[in-house]
Amino acid sequence: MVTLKMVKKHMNRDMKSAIAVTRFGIGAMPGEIEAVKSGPQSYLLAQLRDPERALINDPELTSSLQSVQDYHGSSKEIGKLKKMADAEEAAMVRKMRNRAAVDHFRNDIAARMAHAMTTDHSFLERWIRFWGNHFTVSAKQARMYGLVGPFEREVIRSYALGEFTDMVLVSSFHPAMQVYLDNYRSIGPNSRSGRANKRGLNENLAREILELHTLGVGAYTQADIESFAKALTGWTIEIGPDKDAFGRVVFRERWHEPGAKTFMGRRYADLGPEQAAAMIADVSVHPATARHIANKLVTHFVSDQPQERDIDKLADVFMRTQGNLKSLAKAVVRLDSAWTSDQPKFKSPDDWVVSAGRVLGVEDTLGRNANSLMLALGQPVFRAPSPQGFPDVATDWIGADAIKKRLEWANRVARKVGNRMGALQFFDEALGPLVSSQTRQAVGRAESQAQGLTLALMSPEFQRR
Amino acid sequence: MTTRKLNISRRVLLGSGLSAALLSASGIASANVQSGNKVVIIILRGAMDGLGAVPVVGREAGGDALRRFRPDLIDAASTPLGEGFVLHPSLTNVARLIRKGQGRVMHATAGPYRERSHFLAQDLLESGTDKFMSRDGWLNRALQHGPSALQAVAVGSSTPHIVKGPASVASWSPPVLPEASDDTVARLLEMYGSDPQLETALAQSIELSGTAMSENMGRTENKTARGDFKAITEAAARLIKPAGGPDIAVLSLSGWDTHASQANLLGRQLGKLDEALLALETTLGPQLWDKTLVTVVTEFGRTVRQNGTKGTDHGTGAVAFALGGAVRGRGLMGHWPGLSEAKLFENRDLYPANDVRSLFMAGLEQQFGFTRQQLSTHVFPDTAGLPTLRI
Repeated sequence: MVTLKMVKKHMNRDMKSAIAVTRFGIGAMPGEIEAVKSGPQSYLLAQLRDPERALINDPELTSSLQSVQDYHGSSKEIGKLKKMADAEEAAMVRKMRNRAAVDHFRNDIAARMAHAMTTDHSFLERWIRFWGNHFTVSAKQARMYGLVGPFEREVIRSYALGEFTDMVLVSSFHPAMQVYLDNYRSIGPNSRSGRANKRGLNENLAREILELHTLGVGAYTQADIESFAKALTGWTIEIGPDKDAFGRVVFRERWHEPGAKTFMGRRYADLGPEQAAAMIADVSVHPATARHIANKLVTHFVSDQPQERDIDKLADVFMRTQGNLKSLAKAVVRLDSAWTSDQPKFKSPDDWVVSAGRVLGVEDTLGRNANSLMLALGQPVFRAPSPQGFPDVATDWIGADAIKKRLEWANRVARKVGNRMGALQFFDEALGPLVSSQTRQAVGRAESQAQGLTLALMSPEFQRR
Repeated sequence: MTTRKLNISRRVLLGSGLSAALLSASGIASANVQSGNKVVIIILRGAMDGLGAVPVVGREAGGDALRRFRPDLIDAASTPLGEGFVLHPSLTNVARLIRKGQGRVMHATAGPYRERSHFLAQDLLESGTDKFMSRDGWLNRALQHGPSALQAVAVGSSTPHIVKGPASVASWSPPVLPEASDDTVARLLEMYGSDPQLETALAQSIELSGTAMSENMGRTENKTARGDFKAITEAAARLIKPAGGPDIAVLSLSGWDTHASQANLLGRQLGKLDEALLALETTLGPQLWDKTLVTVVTEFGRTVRQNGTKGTDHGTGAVAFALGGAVRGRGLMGHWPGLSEAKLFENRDLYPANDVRSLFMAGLEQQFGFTRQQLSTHVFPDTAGLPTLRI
C-alpha cells in the first residue's frame, strides 16, 4: 500500500536531487536529475573523490611557462628592432605577439566552457569556478592574455581539493598573479638594485592577498601590508638575460628587501624566498581567513544574506582541518540550509549559460564566439573588472540592461533549437520538480516551440538556483 | 523600436498591472535635482591624440617643435582657437560651440596614472583615485555622497567601471541581437508576477528602451544602432531629457588607438565625435542644452613624436573638452607646459600639467552644488591639493 508518508518522502527525494544538480552543480544534463535520485548527497560527495576530473588536459592549450616565453621573447625582439629603427618590423612582431596571446586566450575560454557544459562532475566544476573567482587574475593587458587560462588550469584545477595554504602559495607565486598584481617588478628600496636604481616597492600583491585571498578587510594594518610587500620583493619572473631560467618564476636576491620584518604581530627572520612564504602560510590558517572564506562560501551556496550559524559551521571546519578544502566542500554539502527548495541564488551569466548548454548542447548554446557572448551578458570570461572578481549576489546581476541582453540571447538560442526540444521537455530535464505549475502553464501556452523555450530559459526558476 | 512597439510596451506595462509606483521603485522616475542641470560624460577609449585634436601652431606655445616632431601629422586646414592653438578640421561643431562661448579646452591633462596601459589607465580615470583597481567608480561614489536623488544612466555596450558600486545606476544599450517579440515580452512580464526582482528589472528595461530608442531605430536597423555612436548619443539624450530623468549620462567611444596611419583614422574618429555632439545638442533642445555640461575625456595622450608608421604610440598628457550651455568661462583651461624637449615627460610625451579630476570636480560643483569638501573626502580622495577650476 502506498502511504502519504511514502509519497512525501519520494517527492522530497526528487526535490533534493534537483537541488543537488542545480545549486551545487552547474545545472542538469539530460537524465541527471533522474539518475541522482537514489542519493543526492552521496552523488555530490563522490565527486570530491575524483579531483583529477577537475583537470582540463587538452594538448592544444599552452602552459604559463610557454606563454611567458612566447610573449616576452617577442617583446625582446621588438625592443631590438626598435633600436635598429625598424619600426615597421617591430609593429609586425608586436601584432603577431598579441595575436598569439589572444589565440591562447580564446582556446582556453572555449575549452573551459565546453568542459563545464559536458562534465559529469559539475559540483566539482562549480567549486573550481568559485576558487577561480576568489583568486582572480584578469586579461586586462596584452601580457595577461596568455596567462589567465594556464593560471586556472595549473593552480585552481590542480589544488582546489587540497590545502588552502598550498593554493595561496601557488597562486601568489604563479606568473599570472605576479604579473597581474605587479609583484614581478616590485623592488625592495634597500635591496642592492633598489639602492642603485631608486626603483621601489609595489604593494598591490601584498594588499590583495591579505584583503581578498586570505584575511579580509580590517584584520590587518597598512604597516602589515608594507612588511608583507617587502617580504615579497625578489619574487619575479625571469624575462631578462638569464637564458636558462627565461620565463620562469624566480627569486632574485638583489631585489629582495633585506632584514627581519614584523608582520601581524610576529617577527619573521629574513630567509630570502622563505620569508614571504612563511607569512602566507600563517595568514592562510588565521581565524579571520576562516571566517572570510566561510562567508563567501555560504553566500555562494546558500544565500545572498549568509547566516552567522552557517558561517560558524564552515569556519570551524576550516580551523579544525587547517584549511583542508576537501573537508570544506563536504561541510558545504552538509549545510541543511543549502537544501531548501526556494532557489535563493540568482544565476550569474556564466551559471545561466552553462546550465543552458548542459541541456541544449555546447554548440547551439555558445554560437561561434563564446567570448563576445559572455561579454555581452556582462561576465567576460577571464576578464573580471578588478582583483575582487565577479560579484556573487543577485543585486549585481539583475539589472534592466542585463535582463534585456539575456532575453535577446534566449530568443536566439530558442530559434536555433526550438524545433528539436520543446520547452516542457527542457523543464523536465533542467529543473524537474523545481518548476512551479504557473510557470509550466505559461510556457505550455506559448504560441510556438521557440517562444516556449525562450520563456523557459528566461523563467524565474531557470534563472535562479 | 517603432512607435508601435513603444505603445505596445506601455500597454504591456499597464495591462499587466504595473503601476507608476513600480516604475518609481525601479529607479527611473526620480526626483529632480538642482533645477534640472545635466552632465554628460563621454569617455574616449583607446587614447585620443590630444595634439592631433588640438594642435599647437603658435611659435611661443611650441608650434615649430610640433611640426618637427610630427611632420606628417599636421593638418593644414585647422580652425584657429587663439592662444596659439587650432582645432582639428573635423571638429566643426566643437569649433562653433567654442566661438559661442559654449566650449573650452583643457590641454595637457592626465589622471594620476603615469604608465601606458589602456585598461589600467581607464580603471584609474573611472575610479578617480591613484589606487590601482579600486572596487567602485567615482560617479557611483558621487551618487552616494552628493545631493540626494541624484541619478545616473550608463548608455552603451557594457556597464563602465565609473558607475560601478553600491548606488543603483540604470543602464541601457542598443540590442546586439534581434529582439524578442512584443508578445514574448508581455508573456514574460506576466510570468514575472511572482518574482518582483525580475519584474522590476524587465519593466525598467521596457521603459528605458521605450525612451531611448527613436522611431527610426527599428528592429531591422539594429546592426547600425549597435556601432553607431551618434544613435547611442541620441538615445542618451532622450533618456535624460524627460522631467525626472537621470541627471548624468555616461557614454564611451572607442577606436582612438592610432598607432599607424593616424591622419585618416583620427579625422574619421573626430568626425564621429563631432557629429554625435551635434546630435546631442539637437536632441536635448536649446532649453536643456543651456543646462548641460558635456565633458569629453580620454585615458591618456599619445607620443609627441610620430612613429615609424605615421602614427603615434601611448603617451601621457592628453586633451579634454568641456562643452554645452552650462560652460561659463572662455579660453584655454589649466596650464600649458610647452613642447620644448626639456619640458617633455620622459622625453616623449606632453607633460601632464593638469589633473583631469579637476575637470570632473568642477563639473559636479557647478552643476549639482557639490562642495569641495564632499568631493575630496568621498568622491576623489587625495585631491585636496589640486587647484580649483571654473568651467
